[in-house]
Amino acid sequence: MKMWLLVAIGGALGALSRYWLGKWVNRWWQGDLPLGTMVINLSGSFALGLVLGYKNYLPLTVVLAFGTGFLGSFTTYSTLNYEFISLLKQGKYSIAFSYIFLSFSFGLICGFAGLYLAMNL
Amino acid sequence: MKDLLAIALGGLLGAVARYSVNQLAQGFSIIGIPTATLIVNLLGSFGLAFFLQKSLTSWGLAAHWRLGIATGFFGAFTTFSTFMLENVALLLKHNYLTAFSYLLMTAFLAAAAGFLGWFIAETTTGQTLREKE
Repeated sequence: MKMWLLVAIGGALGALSRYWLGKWVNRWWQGDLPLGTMVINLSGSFALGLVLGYKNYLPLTVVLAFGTGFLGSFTTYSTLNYEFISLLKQGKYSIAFSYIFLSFSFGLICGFAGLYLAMNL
Repeated sequence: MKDLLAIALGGLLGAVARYSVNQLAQGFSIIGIPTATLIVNLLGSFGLAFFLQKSLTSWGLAAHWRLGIATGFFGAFTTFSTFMLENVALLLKHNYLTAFSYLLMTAFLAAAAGFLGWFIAETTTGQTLREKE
């Protein structure tokens, strides 16, 4: 099977899942902090940590389809950045910087937690 | 249904485009910072800001096209999980300064790219969304 085809299928499903989860979170969250994107990015970072931690036990096809395709596409930087600059434009500086800080710090923690779990369990 | 198809198609193209940049820039790094992810995230941040401004102000695009390109393509082209795991790898190798530079550089340059995209979209349109309303 062609490698790019695996990435393509995973990518399509990742984008759809992001759309659904984002809509679902935003149905009950009305705050200024973009929680939908945060939930998506943090859970995706945890999952990619797991995939990379198990990399040696997984076939390359799974790593490409689920890691590069699905999770790469599920998580997003452009939306996070757009939300960040929109908050800045609205003068909501503390929320904007908290958003970046929380996304980065918890993103690192979630990614590390996934990696650590996979390598030690 | 049209919305979902557009997002799936955009996501498919975005992921393949990201994978292609990755294949081309594989192994390249600027002072230890992985170039491929930086490139997709900066290009995508510029592109999304430009596109969203344009599509809201002057291009009368149907909702499913907007979703397909913004949520689908740019959402999938850029990535957060890979960005984070690259930083975790740098931190585990005790390359603290590189990780810190990579995080700051992405946040700062992506914001600059986004503002630039937004600005170009606004100036080439000649009217802001607020004026139109």
